[in-house]
Amino acid sequence: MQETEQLITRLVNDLTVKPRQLSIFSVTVMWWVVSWVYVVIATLVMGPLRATVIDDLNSHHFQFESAIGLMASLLITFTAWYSVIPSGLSRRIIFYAVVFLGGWVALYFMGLLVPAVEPAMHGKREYCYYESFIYSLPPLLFGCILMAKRFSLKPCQTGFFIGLSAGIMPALFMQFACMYDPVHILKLHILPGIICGLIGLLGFPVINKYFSVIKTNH
Amino acid sequence: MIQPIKNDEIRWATLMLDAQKGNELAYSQLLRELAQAISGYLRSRFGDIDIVDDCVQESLMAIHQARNTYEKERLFRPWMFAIVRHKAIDALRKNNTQKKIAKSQEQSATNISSESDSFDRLSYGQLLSALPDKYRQAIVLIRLEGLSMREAAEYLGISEGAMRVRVHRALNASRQLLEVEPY
Repeated sequence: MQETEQLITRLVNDLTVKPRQLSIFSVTVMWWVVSWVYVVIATLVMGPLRATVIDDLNSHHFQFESAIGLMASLLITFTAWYSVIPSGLSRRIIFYAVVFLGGWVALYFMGLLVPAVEPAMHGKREYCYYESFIYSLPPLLFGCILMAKRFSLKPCQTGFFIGLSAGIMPALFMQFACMYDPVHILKLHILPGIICGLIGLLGFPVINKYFSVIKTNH
Repeated sequence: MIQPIKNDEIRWATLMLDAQKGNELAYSQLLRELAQAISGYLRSRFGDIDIVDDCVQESLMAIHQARNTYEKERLFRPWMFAIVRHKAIDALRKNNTQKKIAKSQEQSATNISSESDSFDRLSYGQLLSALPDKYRQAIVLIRLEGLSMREAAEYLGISEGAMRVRVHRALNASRQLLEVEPY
C-alpha cells in the first residue's frame, strides 16, 4: 500500500499539461481524407484513369461495388482509429466493418460469374500490383506514427486494421484506374491490400513499443 | 448500487478533465480513489492474491500514460476498466509464466498428488471457483501445473484434441467472467 502511495506521488509530480489533442473522430476523418487525396494524386501522376470508366459508372452493379468498397474503407478506418482509445471500439463497429469488407470482396467473387461490367484489358497498368502496394505504405506509416502517440491496448489488432485501411484505398481506386476484371482485381489489387494489413499487424507493435519507450522516458 | 456508480462516474470524469488541465490536487485525489476502486475490483475477482497490488500499480501507470486519450464525450469507467482488465490479464499471464519457470527450475515435475491439493495451492479466488468443474480442472492442469496437453489429457482420460478444446473454452469462459464490469 505504501508503494502505491509513493507511485501516486511520483505520477502526480510527473503531471504535465500536454497540448490539447484533436478528438479521435477528427483525426480519423482527417487521416482518411488526406490518405485518399494522396492515393488519388499518386495514382493519377503515374497514369490516367481507364478510358471507359465514365461508361462503366452507368452500371448500377459497378456503382454498388464501388459504394460498398468506399463504405468498407471508411468503417475499417474507424475500427482502426477507435482501437487506440481504451474502450473506444464497440463490437458493433467491428461487425459492420467486417461485413462491408467481406461483402466488398465477395462482390468480386460473384463477379467471376456475373461481372459488374464486361471484363476487358482497357486501361491495364503494367505495375498495378506494385502500385497498389507501394501507395498504401505512406498512409500506413503516417497512421502508425500518429496512433502510437495514443494508447492501443491491442497493438496487433490496431496494426492489422490500419494496414487494411491503408491497403483498401489504392485497391479500390484501381477499380477506376486499371483494367476491370474480377480475377485481376482480386489477385493484383486486393491481395496487396491484405498484405498491407499483415505488414500493419507486424509493424505497428514495433512502432508502438518505440513510442511507448519515449512516452515512459518523458 | 446504480447511484454510487453514477456519482463515481461524474466525479472521476471531472477530476480527470481537471488533471488534464494540470490540476495536481485533482489528479492526486483521482489516483487515490482509482487505486481503491481497482484494488476492490481485482480482489472481488481474484481473491486476495499477491499480484493484486502489482496490478493496481501497473494500472495506475497505464492510466497515467493514457490520460490524454480520455475525452469528455466518453464515459470514464469503461475507459478505465478497459485498461485495468488488460493489465489484469497481463499480470495473470506473467504470473503463470513465472510459476512455470520456477517449477521447471525446481525440477519438481512430479505427478499431481491430488486435484484438491492443486486447487488449494493455486487458488485464483473467485474467478476460478466461478468456472464449471471441467474448465477449472483444465486451467489448473495446463496453466498452473504446467502439464503438456498430452499429459493433461492422459490424466483426465480424454483425447488430446478434446483437451485442447476444453482449455480453449475454459479460457474463453474466464475471459467472459473477467469482462463482467461494474459499469
